[in-house]
Amino acid sequence: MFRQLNHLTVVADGRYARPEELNFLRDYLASVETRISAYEKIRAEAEMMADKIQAMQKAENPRCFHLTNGDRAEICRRDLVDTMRLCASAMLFSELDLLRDNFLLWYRTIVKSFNYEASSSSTYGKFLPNTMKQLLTPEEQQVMQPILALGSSILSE
Amino acid sequence: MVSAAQAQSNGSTDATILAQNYRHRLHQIHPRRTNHYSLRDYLQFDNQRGDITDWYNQRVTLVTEDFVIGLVEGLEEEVGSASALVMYRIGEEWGKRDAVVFKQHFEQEYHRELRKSALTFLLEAWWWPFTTQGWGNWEVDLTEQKNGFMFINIFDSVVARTLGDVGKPVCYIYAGLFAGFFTGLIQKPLGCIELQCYAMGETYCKFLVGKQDRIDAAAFWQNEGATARDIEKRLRQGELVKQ
Repeated sequence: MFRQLNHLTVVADGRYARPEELNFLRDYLASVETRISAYEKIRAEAEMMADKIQAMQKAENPRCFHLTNGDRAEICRRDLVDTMRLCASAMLFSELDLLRDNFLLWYRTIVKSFNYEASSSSTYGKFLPNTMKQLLTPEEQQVMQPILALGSSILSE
Repeated sequence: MVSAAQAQSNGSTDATILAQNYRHRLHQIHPRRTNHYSLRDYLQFDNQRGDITDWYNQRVTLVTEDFVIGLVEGLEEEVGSASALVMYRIGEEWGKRDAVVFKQHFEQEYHRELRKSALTFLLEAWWWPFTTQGWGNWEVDLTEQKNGFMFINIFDSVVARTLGDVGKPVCYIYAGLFAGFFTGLIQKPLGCIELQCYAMGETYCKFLVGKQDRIDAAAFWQNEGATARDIEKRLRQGELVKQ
């Protein structure tokens, strides 16, 4: 969204924007209520979702948070909560590029450096999208889905 | 476009000269934020002052590919075949000083000692500013670390990308940078050699970092015509140059 706005200010400098160049604004404004409601739900439930996701991960693999330097469940939980907040913000502003450039690509290297790929894969490829599905309405899911798909494609093996 | 932070040594323990009165505003607001590597966040463009500052308040200069060509070809004209060594030494000094600067930044940012941190993690923390500033993505292979060497792959080297397919390795500044940084990091003398280069028609650049005997062996095999894959295989098998 920010990049689209920025792009529009550059390409339409010195002239009026064409109707098709304003479509992204119409689409965004039409979805803004849904985005705010999804954002508020995630904000209210993030901590609980993190607990739920970690419980599912542990049920699947009790040693999933045992990294090379010991049990790191707390750090993984913190990262999960942060990721959910950043994903919710990206959904609110429809800003995938910034989420990818500022967080996901960097976090992928951190995941890899701790050999945490398998757990990351199950968290961001399976449990987080499933948990979000239970929380959000179909309309809210529709605006959240591109964000979760991006996260899954970058953080899953 | 690539950028270079103007980190310099003044001979004292503080190896950086920070830009005077320059403060990265986002860093000041979020001092503990660690995901700040998008170009928009890492660099601060001050239109009014006409300057660029990085996350650590260092002045940054953007240069064009023409600048890189000018640097490489100008040096070749000045010193001939010694330009490779000069570029390596420039990189080595830069790397040694950057190891000192990095230690300060890392310990400040992550609130933990460098030597108590996972090597893979701290290496990612070191290289991310370079990635943001256009020096390319990397991949580190530490599987042979216990045997005294490691491999680094650089994707999209700024030097090789700029010079194009010239049929020989050209990333001497990178090799020097890795040698200097790892020497500074582990406080033991290490060398580095580029085994394959994008400028030789390969898809990425591959560097060997290790003790000098490994580097000498690799250089010998390379001069004999061995490929990067041959050299890698020989090193992994523990083979050194037969005297």
